[in-house]
Amino acid sequence: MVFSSIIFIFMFLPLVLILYRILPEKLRNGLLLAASLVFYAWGEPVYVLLMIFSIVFNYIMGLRLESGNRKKIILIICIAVNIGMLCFFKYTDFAIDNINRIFGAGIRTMELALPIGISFYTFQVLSYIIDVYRGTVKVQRNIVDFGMYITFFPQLIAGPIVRYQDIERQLKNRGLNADMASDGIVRFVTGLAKKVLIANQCGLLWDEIYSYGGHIPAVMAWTGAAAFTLQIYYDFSGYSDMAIGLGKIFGFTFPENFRYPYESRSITEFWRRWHITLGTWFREYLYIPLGGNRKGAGRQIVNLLVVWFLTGLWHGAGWNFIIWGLYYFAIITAEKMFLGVLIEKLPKGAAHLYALFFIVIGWVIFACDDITVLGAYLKSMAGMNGAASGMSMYYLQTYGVLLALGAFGSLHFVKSTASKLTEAGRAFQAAKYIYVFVILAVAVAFIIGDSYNPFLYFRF
Amino acid sequence: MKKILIYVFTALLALTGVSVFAGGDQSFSDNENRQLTVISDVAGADVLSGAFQRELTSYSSDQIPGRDLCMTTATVLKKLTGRKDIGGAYIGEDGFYFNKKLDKDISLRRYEKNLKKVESIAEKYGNKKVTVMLIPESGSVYSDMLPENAELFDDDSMYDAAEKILSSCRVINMKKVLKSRAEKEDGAYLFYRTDHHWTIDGAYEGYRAFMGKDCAYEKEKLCDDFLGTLYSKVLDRKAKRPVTDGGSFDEVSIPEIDSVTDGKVTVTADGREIEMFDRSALNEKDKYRVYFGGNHGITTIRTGNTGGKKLAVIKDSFANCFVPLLTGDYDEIIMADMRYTSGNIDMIAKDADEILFLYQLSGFAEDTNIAKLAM
Repeated sequence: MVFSSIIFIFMFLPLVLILYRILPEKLRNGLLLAASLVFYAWGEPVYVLLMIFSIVFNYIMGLRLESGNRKKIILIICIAVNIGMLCFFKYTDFAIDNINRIFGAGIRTMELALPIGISFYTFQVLSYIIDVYRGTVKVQRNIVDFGMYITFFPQLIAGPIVRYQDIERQLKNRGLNADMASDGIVRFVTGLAKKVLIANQCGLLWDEIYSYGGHIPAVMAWTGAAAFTLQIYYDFSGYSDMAIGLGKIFGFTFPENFRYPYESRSITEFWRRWHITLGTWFREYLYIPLGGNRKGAGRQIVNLLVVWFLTGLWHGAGWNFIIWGLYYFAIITAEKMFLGVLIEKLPKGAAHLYALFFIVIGWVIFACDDITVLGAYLKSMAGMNGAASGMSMYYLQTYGVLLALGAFGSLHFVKSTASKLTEAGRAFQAAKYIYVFVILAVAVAFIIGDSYNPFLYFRF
Repeated sequence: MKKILIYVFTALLALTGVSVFAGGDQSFSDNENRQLTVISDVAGADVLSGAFQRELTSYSSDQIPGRDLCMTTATVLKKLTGRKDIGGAYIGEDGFYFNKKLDKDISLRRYEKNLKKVESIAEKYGNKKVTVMLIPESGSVYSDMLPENAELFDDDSMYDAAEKILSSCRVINMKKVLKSRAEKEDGAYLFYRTDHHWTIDGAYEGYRAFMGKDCAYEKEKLCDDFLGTLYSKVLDRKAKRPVTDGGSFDEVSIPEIDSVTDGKVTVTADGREIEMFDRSALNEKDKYRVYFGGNHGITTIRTGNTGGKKLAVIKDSFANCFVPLLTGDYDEIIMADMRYTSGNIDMIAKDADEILFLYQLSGFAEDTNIAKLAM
């Protein structure tokens, strides 16, 4: 089930909300677990078995890790099983394709459907297992609470990646909190609007420009790149807003996932503000255990290489994702070595331009899953197919307002002004509630009006 | 205040959800020109395969109250932000919508393959007159009504290619024909505003080019509330003609042909006798189906004339509006729509004196059946 669907908004969500309010507190986690399994089973019912296996297996392994014998072996088995499942479903066909290409072996691909959210919940599970192993969190003895943590529908599909330590306490002690819930509603509706009103519309433009196959004038290429840059931000951060908002409605505080990343002045800063929970996960469970920057510059570069290669690969089974990860490895290493010092001396505006330029190029690499199209597209951006002709100006005219609104909305300024206003008085407070219903109505109109409604992050 | 928000929000969502199931299901959306999911589709579906979930998901969005209003709202808001195309249709001037087809959407390889096939058919029937008429997009004829800077695929070079490849055929450049009429008469109603087909006036220009003469006929206006395929892409209720023009939607007219009204003409479609003008279509969404009741595999028209001339038309839906105009000029006309029949060319054209290929240009370029035509 996707959030931006009629069935979720008008059937699943109110039903769960009402039941949640009626049931006594000790049954609520059970309700959320059951609801999450239904939510998960909506697309691929069979994969619920996979999910249940994952819950039971990791629950038992957690208990074994606590008992103390041969902890290291249990940890390794546990990581191998979880990562193994992820690799099996996500990367087998990619591996087969490459083997076929290199050796000419005609191995048939398996064409498995990717279990929704497997990249996300695998990382959540691992955070629990590793933290139990390290002794930083207590083992969870209640399988319902544990299952709910893994499957909780708000963040099941596309994050934020909630580490077990982040919500350990909330699994038990959280009451009904009207402040949080009403904030959650505002947040959810805002996220829905970001997804439906901006991301999907920008997505139409990107898809259309991409369908030219890469050989286009520079203006069109940059318009397309801008469209995708906005699409992925509004899509993904909108999804995170919906997840965080829903979490709040049920009394959970999830970690933030985005902090106005396009305002960054360096790529290092960008990655501290983009998909924060993924960056945190890789730092906590991979980069630092590998030694981080404590074992000399040479070792640090190797560690960075590993982290960024895997970050790229995590985003998708395709060479463009690997290139995209290595691209960020190169820039971030350069910033750590020498570039960072130079950037700090730049005027603010120039630093913004620097960061934005590499972010946009990064998204083009990310978005072009056909490597030959990618090459042609980058050449087009460099102006090798002319500056502007044909439809270039048309796309700017017809989507210009949307792109401008999208760019404006990605600034911190908008949110902080809105917050100041709502704190200023009751009238603005009331305006916020009117906003909820107006925005909800408009978003629903767009959901119905547009059959076009995919979540970008479903691929991951 | 905060509690009120929570309760109102929850109640509003729940009531909307319940209202999907209340009230009768609508099984067809005229607006969108498609079948909707109804409750029986949901009830019969299997849970384990995921079919039930899929059906219920589409049921909920298909049967939600206010669906049409939602779609119009979305369209209006998109237009407010300056969008000039929605759902693959340009929003032109004067209430005209145009199919948005660009070079990238046309496969020239398939187009040339189809042309070569037609040429080889023409060579095979060297003794018959073979004519090829390819109808341009409405946006190409009314190019001054396209949104600013909007383009369409390069049809001129496609007409050039047709003339080059079809050396054994008579090729009529319908773009030139229609454009010159549109330029001569301001407001010439050659294509529908909300549908991709040509009108009877457009088809009549085709007649004059094909026959090389005029034919006197009266037009009978059947309706002025036609909202066609392009409307279903944009979904804007404001798709009205300018008020000065009567403020109505598209008009559908038929030619009053004596032999048809006299009952001398008989039409058989795939072995069944049908009306040339099926007025029951006026109660349906697709009012263009008034001509022959839509497309059939093989349609045979016996006109009762005794001039001795027979015509075979290999065609798409653009012929449906055109062929009635020919009933005074031929004894028998066989129309073959290769999407709905697997007949070979001999079956269709053996007895004919003339063969006409009549397609929309882009439809011809996309067609996958011509190449399969057995010879």
